[in-house]
Amino acid sequence: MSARSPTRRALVASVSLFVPAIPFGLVLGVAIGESPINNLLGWSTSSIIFGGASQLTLISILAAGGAPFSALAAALAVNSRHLMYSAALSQRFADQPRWFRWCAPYLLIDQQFAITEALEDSADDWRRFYLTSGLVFWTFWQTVVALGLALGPLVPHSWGLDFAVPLMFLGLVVVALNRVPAVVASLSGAAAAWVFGGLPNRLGLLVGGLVGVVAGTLADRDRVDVVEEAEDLAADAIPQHDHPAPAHRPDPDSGDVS
Amino acid sequence: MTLLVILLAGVGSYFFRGVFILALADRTPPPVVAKALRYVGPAVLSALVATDLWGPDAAAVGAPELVGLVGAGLAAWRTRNLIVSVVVGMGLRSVLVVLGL
Repeated sequence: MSARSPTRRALVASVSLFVPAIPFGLVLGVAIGESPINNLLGWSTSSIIFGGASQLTLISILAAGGAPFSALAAALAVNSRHLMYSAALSQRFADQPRWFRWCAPYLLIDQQFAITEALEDSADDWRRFYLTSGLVFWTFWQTVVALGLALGPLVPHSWGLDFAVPLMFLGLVVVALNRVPAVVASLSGAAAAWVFGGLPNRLGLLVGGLVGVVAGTLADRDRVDVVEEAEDLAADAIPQHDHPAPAHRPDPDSGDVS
Repeated sequence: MTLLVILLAGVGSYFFRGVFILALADRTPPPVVAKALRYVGPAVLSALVATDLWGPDAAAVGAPELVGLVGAGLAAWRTRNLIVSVVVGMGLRSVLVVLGL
């Protein structure tokens, strides 16, 4: 296994990415332990649903005596953002075998999307990376939730370790930002999610995601139009040469934010 | 009944994660859609940060968290290193909390 093998890279990335999620998994385990739901049944949400926020939503509503249907609706609403991950990754699966297309969605949590989306690997390497990081997340998640369930509150809330999760996603976004439209998508998505933060079941997240995608796409189109118009004007203003236009032209996709 | 709810939530979550992978993997989307899909990452993950911090079930965000957030953002931008940025953010927040700010 060479240092740059996809399996090795996926191990390093997913293990370090999992660390900030540990407190959340412990909290979920404690919530299951304190709920009237059978412990094993509560823990089974980790493997059946495999999504921390929706598991916590489901458990909390059932524990508070809410109607099963409203608990289900809320848990699904929380996970609706995965529709966007699915769409965004769909082209990655063009060259993937059928079995992988059916297995991969099960492992598609936020972290998994964040670290696999931007990889520039071949189809085979991408699949190895995806399976490795997905199985690491899955195994760790089952373990941490079980630990929280078995041992109770391990980490005092006052340490504020919950804060590591938004910090980690912030870092993932910032590290990937390389073009102006992506910055537009990021800022408008966050702003819209903040404005609609009062919506139940984290639906503000879905609204924010949609607003950000639309804003980023519009910003991208504007840039292309502006650059092309500027080139047309410049071409009109410059007397015609024999040779074609200079090979170097501003690439509308390479805008740097720095 | 609880088991049924859990199973349905699992099936629904799998559906959300899989529907477009299974339906669109063999199709080429129109250019504008392909372009839009590139912004799902920055848009949804940024919205996730905002929801974690200011959503309905978020803990209160005060000065230490805001400073930590800005510090982590700058660290991520300068170093392109995720671990460094999380450590900087958590460190700044802890220092400010200990100082009582």
